[in-house]
Amino acid sequence: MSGRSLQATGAVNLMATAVHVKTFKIDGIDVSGREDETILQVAQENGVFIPTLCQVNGLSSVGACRLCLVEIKGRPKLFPACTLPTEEGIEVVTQSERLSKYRRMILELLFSERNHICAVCVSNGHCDLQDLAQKLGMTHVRFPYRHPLMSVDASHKQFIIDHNRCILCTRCVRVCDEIEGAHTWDVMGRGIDNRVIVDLDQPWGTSETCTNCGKCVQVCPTGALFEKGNAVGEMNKRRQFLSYLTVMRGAGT
Amino acid sequence: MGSGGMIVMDETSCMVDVAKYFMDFCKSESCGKCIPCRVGTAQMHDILTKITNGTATMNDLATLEELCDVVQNTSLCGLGQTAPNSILSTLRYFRDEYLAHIQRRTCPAGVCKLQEPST
Repeated sequence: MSGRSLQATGAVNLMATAVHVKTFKIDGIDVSGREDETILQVAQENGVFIPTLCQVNGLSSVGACRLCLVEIKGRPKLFPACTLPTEEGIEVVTQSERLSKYRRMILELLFSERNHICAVCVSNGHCDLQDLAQKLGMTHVRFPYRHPLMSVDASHKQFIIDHNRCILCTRCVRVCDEIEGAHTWDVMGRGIDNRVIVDLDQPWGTSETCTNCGKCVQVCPTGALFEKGNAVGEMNKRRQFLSYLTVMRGAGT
Repeated sequence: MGSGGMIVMDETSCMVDVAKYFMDFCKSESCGKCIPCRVGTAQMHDILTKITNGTATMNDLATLEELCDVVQNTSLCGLGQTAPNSILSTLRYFRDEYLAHIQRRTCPAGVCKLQEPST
């Protein structure tokens, strides 16, 4: 972290026009970040925890999960940290009574949307949704569970998609399009009928664009996408390649 | 809703039913990208349906108000941010109609077909 900021300072001295650094505050700590960085990136560099489900370093930010919402002093609205660019002199607040209430309610909405019974899920114990629910203190869901009738597609030779566990973060859609370049995944339907589809809404096994790379499975935060042959609790996600994405795509994207 | 048009209603319109109608619109127009709007509008519509068929409790009304707050303040775009407006304004000016549905199981306008109390 310190090496990176040193590098940034050096760049400012050498090429004053190329890199602009903004100084501002996150939770009272003085921080600085490049102008092409987001508040979330700067917070992560400085060890400030902001919960997020849809954001993955190296992929584009969509600001869809609304869990990374932060307050800026003097502004009434809430802003998603993953898409908010750095700005000189602002005071960002990442933890407050209001924010934790909203974050917990958003998690409750997610849990009530489909079928998230952790005990019978392949990702039990290593699930981003479960982790966040524990971390943010979501103890119960006050909304009625909707439990819609969703399908499980096991037609692919290596992988399975269980739509019941999908939280529509679109990480799979983005990693397939932006990194693998296959764009096998996409989103179909509107509102509560949203679901991810393969190609033209066909069984995964019949897809001609899928390269079987498995990136979608590794970025999936829940047990929606998983490898065949892994019984409950046995599969561990291999996310090692994620750290290289930022380098591959150039810093700041 | 949205277009700036004006709707004139008399006492034969049930305000809970009107709010449900607009929430049905928002639910079907929600794109589904952000969670509060996608799930929130569906949950609010479910609660309004419960109120209009006479199966809601005062807890449901409290949950509805909390949902309005979270959907209004955390949604990504203008659709989600304004979706709860129909509920918030009918609750502000016609709260007695909501209470009549929930506590007395009657629809003052005679629009909703409520279930008989099970006692």
